[in-house]
Amino acid sequence: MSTSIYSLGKSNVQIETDILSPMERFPGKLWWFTFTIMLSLALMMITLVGWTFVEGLGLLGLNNPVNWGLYIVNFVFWVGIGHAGTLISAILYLFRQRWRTTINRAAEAMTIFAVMTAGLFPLIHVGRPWMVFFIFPYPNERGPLWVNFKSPLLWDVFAISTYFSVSLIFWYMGLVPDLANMRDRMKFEHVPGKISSWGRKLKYGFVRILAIGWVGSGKTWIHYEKMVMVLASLATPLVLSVHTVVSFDFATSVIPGWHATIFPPYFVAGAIYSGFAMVLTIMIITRKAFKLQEYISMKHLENMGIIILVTGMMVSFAYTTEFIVAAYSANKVEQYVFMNRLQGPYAWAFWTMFAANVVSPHFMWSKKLRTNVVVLFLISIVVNIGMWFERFVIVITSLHRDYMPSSWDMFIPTWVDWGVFVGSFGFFFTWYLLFVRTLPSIAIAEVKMDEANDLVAKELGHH
Amino acid sequence: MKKFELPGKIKNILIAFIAVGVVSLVAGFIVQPQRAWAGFLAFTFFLIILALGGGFFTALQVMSGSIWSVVVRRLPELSVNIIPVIAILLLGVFLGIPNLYEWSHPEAANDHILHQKHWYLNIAGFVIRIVIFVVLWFFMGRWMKKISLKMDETKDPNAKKTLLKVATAYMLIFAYTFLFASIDLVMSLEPHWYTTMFIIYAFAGMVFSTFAGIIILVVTVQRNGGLKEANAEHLHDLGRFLLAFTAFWAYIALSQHMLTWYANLTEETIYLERRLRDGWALFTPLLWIFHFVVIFLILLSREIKRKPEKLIKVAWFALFMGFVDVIWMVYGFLDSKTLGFPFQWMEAGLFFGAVGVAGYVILTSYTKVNQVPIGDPQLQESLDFHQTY
Repeated sequence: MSTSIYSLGKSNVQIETDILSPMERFPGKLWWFTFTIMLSLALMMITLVGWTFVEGLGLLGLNNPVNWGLYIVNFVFWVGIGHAGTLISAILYLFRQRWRTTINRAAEAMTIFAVMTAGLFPLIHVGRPWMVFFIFPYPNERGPLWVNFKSPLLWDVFAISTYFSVSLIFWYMGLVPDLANMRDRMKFEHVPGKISSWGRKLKYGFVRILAIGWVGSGKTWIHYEKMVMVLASLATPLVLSVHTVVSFDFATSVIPGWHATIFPPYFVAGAIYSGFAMVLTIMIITRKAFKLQEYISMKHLENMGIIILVTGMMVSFAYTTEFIVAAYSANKVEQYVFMNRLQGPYAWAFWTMFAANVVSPHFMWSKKLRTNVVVLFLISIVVNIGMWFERFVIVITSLHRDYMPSSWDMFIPTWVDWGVFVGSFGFFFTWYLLFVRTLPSIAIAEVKMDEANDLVAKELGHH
Repeated sequence: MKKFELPGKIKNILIAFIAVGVVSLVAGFIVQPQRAWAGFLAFTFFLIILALGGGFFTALQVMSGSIWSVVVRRLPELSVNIIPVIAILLLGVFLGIPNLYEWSHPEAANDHILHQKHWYLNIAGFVIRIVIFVVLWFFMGRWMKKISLKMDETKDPNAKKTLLKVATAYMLIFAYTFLFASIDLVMSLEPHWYTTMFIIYAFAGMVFSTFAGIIILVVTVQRNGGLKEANAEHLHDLGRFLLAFTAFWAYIALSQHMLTWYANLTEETIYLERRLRDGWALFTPLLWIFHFVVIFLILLSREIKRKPEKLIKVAWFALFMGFVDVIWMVYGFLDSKTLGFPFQWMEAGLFFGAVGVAGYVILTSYTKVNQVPIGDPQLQESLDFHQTY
């Protein structure tokens, strides 16, 4: 074993101070400024959604062929974003990817917030959201009227709620040692900052409760590590299952452009692709704002760039397969749908997607470009746009021209549609901004452990 | 470093396996020629996935910068040597086109769908595509192997960078050629039918069989006094990959079949419809149980993954199920009334034959090279590798 390129060579106290200091001082102007904007956007979304509750879904651009509009596009988009966190914490853990250590915490938090954001959309799309509890199968006085267990929409409820719960537990369990660290630091060390004494007490109380009496004995750590291993193994199939089930929403139908058996793995690859793009966007901002460049180094960003390249090519492969099999199929309807994507009235959306998802990741072949923060940041944004358009293409272009040309129509999103979409970013970032100020955005205990292992390896190397 | 010596006994067993394969095939051609053609194609396709699987494994390990696998990389690297045999077998497949592929029949011109597919499904196009693919597979695989072997002598750490570049090219070429090759060779056996998942299904089976094959090769070589460097730690990871890929196969199979069943489109369900009646009625559920459920449950055990004598038994069974899966994919176009149970003596004989060919080619080539990539800069780390959990 040699010393890893990821070693920091820092003392434990230094690591704690670097990571915890943002939580120990009063937020600065930049944070308040961003937070105000994001909260306003979230409130705007809530207002618009409230208005659709009162007025009805007629406020949206939905029409007869396109009865799933931007809400579903946004839903799939946000669920996709919510894949990277648990992928990093579970799958990369099983693959022994050490570089995940410093990015997993924030990525998992992002996952949880993205899934929360995604969950809003089906909820507000059902038309009568106050009846939404009908989707839960329980013995009831309505007949009893059971849910349709054969409906993929119901599977979605199960898949996403399971994924959310396991991700939340995984995230929280990872936080416990760090919360204990925060607790002990608050108790035994003088922590500077503007926090008044009652506020400090309140915060201490919360942190103490959340740390569930963690003492960090050897025995606790042994149990803890086993638990991480087991949770990672359980979370791995869950990561795949979520977007698989989301893809079933489309693929179980008989709508050309939706019914494709390749959808499950294709959606999963796309989800990882967009998730990593979002992690990259957020990490670049977080490391800059909190001066964590040593922890989330260029090498980390480069690795994420490579993952974007690989998953981008997997997504391109899936597109190719779809087109080739459609060409092979001798099925006129199938072929029409794909030609309509290329040349129809929504061709601009397809080509935007193509440029962003298929072409743009190839810049990552160049070492020079993928080690350039600005380029990475731009690519991550472009990929996010591309992945949003991918869902737009799948949902809208497949619907707007169905089997009967007499019912063809265009889907034109209204300003309410766009308002809710923009507002969803506000909702997501409001949570994220609260997170970075209240909980350590890097897994302190794991970073320390890696540092200790490096030290041991170094010592052994001398003998 | 001492080279591996293949004991005469093993060599004889492998030759006997090949003989069993040839005899079964010949007997098959006498008794049931149509079935024998299908069996021959299945045999060829199984060798193709093993040969490509080795290349895929090598490329994947190099691209991911994997350390644990360096020790066991040499055996899969040599799988490219099967491709010349495959080339000869494919000539046989070309001869069998009229017996195998409905789209090649003159009556196809009267079939509306087949007529529309003629631009793609025609004999000249088929032969040209397959020839191009085989040439690409052979030269790309050999290029990768050559760089790795040359590294043994030069010990040049920069050669690994070249290997990375070639591996990346291999991976891309593999992905897109396999897309077409699986459509041409297998999917077009039932030319009215199509599904987008098929390519991934064939790929999932390929990786599964490959990991089973690598485990068998590593343990067999070790039992005969070679490859002492590989130990339980490396086997553990190979076993884990076998576990992961049986789950992946099940995931892909479930997705394909469930979506087919759910949408219930006539042109699509015919695929499952055919495979659930007559002789298939028992065969298909058994495939799902043994290819996934049984192997998955067995491989959950940590102990089994670390004990060579236990792991190799599971791997033999997995490799066998990999072959059964190929039979499942290929045999669907045969008339199920006369087919009977799809796996009979001839198929069993062909499995031995495929094992014999792949084993003989890889193991005899293995005696000529260094047992581990001694020039690989990460070899030492790979030797020192140990599992933390």
